[in-house]
Amino acid sequence: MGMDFRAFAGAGRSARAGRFAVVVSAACMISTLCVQAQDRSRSAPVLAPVNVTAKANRDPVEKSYRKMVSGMDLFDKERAMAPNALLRFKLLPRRRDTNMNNIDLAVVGTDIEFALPIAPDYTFVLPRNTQAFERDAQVVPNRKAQSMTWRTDIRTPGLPPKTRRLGDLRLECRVGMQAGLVSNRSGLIGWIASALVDTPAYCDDKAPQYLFFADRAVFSVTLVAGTRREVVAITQLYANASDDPGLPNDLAYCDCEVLIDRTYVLPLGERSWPDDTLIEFEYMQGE
Amino acid sequence: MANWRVLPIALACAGVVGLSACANPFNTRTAALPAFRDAGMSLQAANDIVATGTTTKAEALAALGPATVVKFDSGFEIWVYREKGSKPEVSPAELVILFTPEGIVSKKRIRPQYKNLDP
Repeated sequence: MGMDFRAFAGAGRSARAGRFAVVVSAACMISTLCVQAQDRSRSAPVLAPVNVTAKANRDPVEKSYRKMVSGMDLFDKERAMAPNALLRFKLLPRRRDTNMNNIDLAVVGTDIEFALPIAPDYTFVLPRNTQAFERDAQVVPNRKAQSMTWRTDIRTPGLPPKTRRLGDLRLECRVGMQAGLVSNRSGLIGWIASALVDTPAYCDDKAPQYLFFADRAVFSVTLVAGTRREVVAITQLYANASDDPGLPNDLAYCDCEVLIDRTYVLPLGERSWPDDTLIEFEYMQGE
Repeated sequence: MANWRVLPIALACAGVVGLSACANPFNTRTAALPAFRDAGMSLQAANDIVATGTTTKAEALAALGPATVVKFDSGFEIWVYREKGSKPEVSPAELVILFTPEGIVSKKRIRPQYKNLDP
């Protein structure tokens, strides 16, 4: 892979904590280093040096392995919502200049590191690993913070083309929130807000603003359950760009920044729509 | 302001002055979108005026009046006309037009009016 993931494994355990976390982390790291230095001077055998390569990324867009595994646990617990679906995680671009080619992704802990293969659609499976869990490992791509965002990808196989299933998307929201994948906000207020709101229960709201990203730019999104059809309002597409003149100034805070034309929200908590409801997409280009 | 941006502010507000003092950002009624230049024009009539593959932005503007416009990095634009005067309990009908980067109508659709489900 050409790079040492350990070089940035300890940087910023929680992106949401922003500067607060940086300060606290720095203090903890300094105190930890002092203690370690003292311990080493007393007794410890000399450890092999860790090479830090010039390509190392010190501000990675990492996620907690434990949090992601807790999302997998929730998926297993609630998979009746999508009984035939498989769970994958997905990487998405966050900036216009994000290079999505040749991403190296790894689980990195104190004394464990293993690579995660990424599919051509930027999805990957996270294997369960007791040691990584116990070491509070991070899932780390070789990209800087704010350059990518993450989502779950839960798809029932065999659906008609250009459709998704509402139960799959409900579960995507719940698992995504549990796994801490959404990275919209920054700063202390954002961190506090996230702690209060980023729970699976948020997905049970009638109209949660959990942003989904279609496979391509969307023109229309329609819910279909039997003979009942309902076209999603324009305010539910494109991160409400139609009614929000300030959106361009706010985009830096949204992980939809370069995915606006693919963005939509759904009435996930509106239970009159069953899990088997199909979401039909008409894309901007093509039939 | 988009809801995902408002949320932290609303929560911070809630933490300071109590939940009852904060408006719920998710229940905010959206701003009125422009009606057609001809106030008597129906969505269907407007839809019939616009021709896929030929109508330009200038022609649509002249025939229908100004729209709410969403521009994308790809060069595509969405123009939205929304039924005015609908009651609060309904989600208003919309005419949505997609323009190519060359400024020609690529797609159009009418979203009918729907009754809002109980909150």
